[in-house]
Amino acid sequence: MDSDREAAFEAFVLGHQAALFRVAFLLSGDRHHAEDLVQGTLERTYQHWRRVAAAGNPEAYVRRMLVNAAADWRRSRRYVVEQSLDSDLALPSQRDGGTDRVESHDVVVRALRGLPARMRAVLVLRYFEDLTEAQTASVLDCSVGTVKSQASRGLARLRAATELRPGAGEIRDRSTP
Amino acid sequence: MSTDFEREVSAAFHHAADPLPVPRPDLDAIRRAGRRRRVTSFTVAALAAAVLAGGAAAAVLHLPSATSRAAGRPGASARPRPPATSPPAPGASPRPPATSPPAPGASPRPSATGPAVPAAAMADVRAFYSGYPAAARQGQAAVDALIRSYAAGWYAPILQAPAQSGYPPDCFDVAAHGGLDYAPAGLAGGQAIIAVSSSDASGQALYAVVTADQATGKITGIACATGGAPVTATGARDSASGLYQAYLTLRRQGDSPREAVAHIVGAPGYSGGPESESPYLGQLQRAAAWPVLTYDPLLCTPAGLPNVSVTAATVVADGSAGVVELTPSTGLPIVTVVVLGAQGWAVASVACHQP
Repeated sequence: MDSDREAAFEAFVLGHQAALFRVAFLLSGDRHHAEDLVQGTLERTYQHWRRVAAAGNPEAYVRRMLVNAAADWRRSRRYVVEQSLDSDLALPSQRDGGTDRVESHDVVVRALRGLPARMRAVLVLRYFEDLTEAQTASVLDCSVGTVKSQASRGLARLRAATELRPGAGEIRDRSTP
Repeated sequence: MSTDFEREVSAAFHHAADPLPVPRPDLDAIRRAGRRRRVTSFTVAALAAAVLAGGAAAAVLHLPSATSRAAGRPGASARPRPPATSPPAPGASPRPPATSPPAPGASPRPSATGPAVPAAAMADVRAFYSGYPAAARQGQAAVDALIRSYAAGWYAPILQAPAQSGYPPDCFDVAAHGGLDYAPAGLAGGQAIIAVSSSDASGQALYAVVTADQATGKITGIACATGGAPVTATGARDSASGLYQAYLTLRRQGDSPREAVAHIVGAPGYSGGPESESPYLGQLQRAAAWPVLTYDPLLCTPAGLPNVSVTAATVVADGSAGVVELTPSTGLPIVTVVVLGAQGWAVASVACHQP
């Protein structure tokens, strides 16, 4: 890779790595796996940088790679999650105290962890990354209709979780056999 | 964003993710790993190109090796090679030499794939092998009946086809059946893995790595493997990955399953090609079952072309075979068994769930 491309790649990593890490964290529910996902995604980005840069929107391209990597990772570990209060996703409430709002946030994020990979990706891209339905569909390589239905069902499941307000419990991902 | 709940979800996500300390990117490590990936992907691309061009591209990609020179065929070295085995002499057994048989009464080393193999699967595999000598003495009709009794319905017609490797369907000479050893080797992708082993007159260990449906106990694949072949998880993973990459490429270009298998088997330099004795693809090509197969025997699905990713690879049967689990984007996991013969890596069985 020539020096201009190296510089462009370095600038891209420094500019987007934090955002990618946070998306990876929400997709995986674990900061260590998030680090691995981002590292692997950036390695593939470097491998294909010429094509990524030529695509015109490297951020979208790499975001798609990250979402696919997260889905592969979830499939590979036969995702059965023991939710516990000391999981990474529960840490903020422990730090911030136990207000109703914070508890509600934690319940939402914990419930996110039990959703199927695609539904989870839709919610993260729509409500954390603030992508439009069309942008989300582009990242996930699916139709806008799929994004709408997945978002609607995902929100319903998160809403049900907040209404039930479970404590520590077990959520089993039904998307994997 | 329109509703209060959507705003709440957004706030919850930011509440969880924003305070996290972000690790510093290790640019040097990323670059090093990215360069290694480039080399790997070039190799895979070369394999696919060789398949697609029906051998024409193989000449361009030719990397000389002793075997390919001897065979006078370009491109033969484009696939992974066994590190320390010699090609068999003409007419000799395809089994590689120089391995020790298991100690009398000892079980082959089990893999560490977790839960125990169900007793029903062990019992069905034992029953199949116990009944095989008598069936073989009675003739092909009895063998076929035995296969139909113990093999999954979709797999039986493939197992009945003549094996390209030269081994009988169960992998063993009838005389060896008295001394077979059965060892559970774990679970993978809903399949029970059982290593059946024996030693021939020269002391060479031989394995049949049998996959059986975890729920029904029906046999879904039998892969013959020679003891002591230096199988690695990485080699097995690469072999299965290479096969599926080429197969999916051909299928997406419009090949039927049968045409895609024929393309791969006929392409020199590919790990599923004739040089590497790919037993499963060979059997598939010869199977008279094609008219009755209502599913794709590699993708294990009646329709559609899912993306397939390798999710796990484990070495079993005393290091003689690799069990590679693949996960399609739709459908249940696929379990392949990869062996390493004198001619290279080869996918020796593909175990589907009931399609």
